[in-house]
Amino acid sequence: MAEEHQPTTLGRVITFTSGKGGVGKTTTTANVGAALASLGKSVVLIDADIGLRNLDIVLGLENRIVYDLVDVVEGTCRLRQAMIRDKRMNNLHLIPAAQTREKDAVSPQQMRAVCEELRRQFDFTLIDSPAGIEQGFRNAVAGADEVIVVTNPEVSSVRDADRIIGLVEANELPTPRLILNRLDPLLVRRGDMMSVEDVTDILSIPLIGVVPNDETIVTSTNRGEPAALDTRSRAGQAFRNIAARLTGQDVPLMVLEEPDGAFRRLLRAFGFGGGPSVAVRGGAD
Amino acid sequence: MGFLDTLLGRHPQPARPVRPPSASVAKQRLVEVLIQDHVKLTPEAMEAIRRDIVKILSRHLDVDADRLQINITRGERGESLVANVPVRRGGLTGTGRR
Repeated sequence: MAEEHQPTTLGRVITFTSGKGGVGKTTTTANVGAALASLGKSVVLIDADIGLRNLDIVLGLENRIVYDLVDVVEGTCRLRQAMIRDKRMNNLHLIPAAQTREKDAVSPQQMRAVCEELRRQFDFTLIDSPAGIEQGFRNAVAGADEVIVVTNPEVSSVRDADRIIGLVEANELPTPRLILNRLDPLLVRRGDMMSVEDVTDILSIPLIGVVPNDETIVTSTNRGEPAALDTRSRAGQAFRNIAARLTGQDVPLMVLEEPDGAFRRLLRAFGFGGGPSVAVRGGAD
Repeated sequence: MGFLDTLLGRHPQPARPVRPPSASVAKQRLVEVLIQDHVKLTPEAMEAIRRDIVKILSRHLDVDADRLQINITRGERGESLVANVPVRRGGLTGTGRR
């Protein structure tokens, strides 16, 4: 066989997964993708949650879908035709999930082939895995080089994250990295939420980021505008930090201050600065 | 009554037991459940392990089987099975017959 043209560097394929549903996988994939694109990287996002399409609406691209991932693997369209270009950044793309099909419409082999093609064209291919540990998960990690596990500081999602970490390692992938999403520093300080250290102690995998619980995620998702593009959003900043770490930059973990309460505003009005803050440290890179 | 009495200390509230912070409870429960998740040993399997440990060590030592303790613990590098096998006085001079 003749040698194919090889680009100088192949892109990375990273899957975001969690086991448990509702921990923020889709939001994380969308925001890390948008943040990587804003750093100038070429990015394609794949919604691997076949039957429960969502990444499109989080990104505000739901009205532009013509073809989807199943169309690609079945040969109904070319890969390029299924890629929706983002409204805001021309280096960010989405391959949506099929909405009316089942998980078994795609096989791990087909996902691997799609990923191999995408890594020749993009710096980053980010895959949003469905919840669960069955075929949808196996498809989502089939073509991945790296896996990022998203969890919340809460017993059921940490337990499921532990299960997923075992399955990722059983798939002969490198040790996944962890995003701790929706941390509330006030609750941690009160002793009513597990801290970053508690969760990293239990899961024993490297941390790549901590995202504070932040209402700007609700409003940005309502509008279909990733919070990572809003410079005032704390969660957006956390996602931008994760993107920077993925590109190899050494970014310290954010200091997660308490939300601004009435008392604190009053203090500030009288010239008393920001007050104490809760520093979040961990085994970050 | 009620509020005022409490304020004046007439009906001191029974001291509430001090409960550990819910986050530490969460962590402790997780550590325990993950051991169960990782080491899928049924009580029958544990009993069989206990019997076999006694059987094998008894070839060499005078083992106090009633006080034998077996625990699964979680360390840096995953779970380990830790057995504490008490030996009766003089038991350590076992003959090691095969």
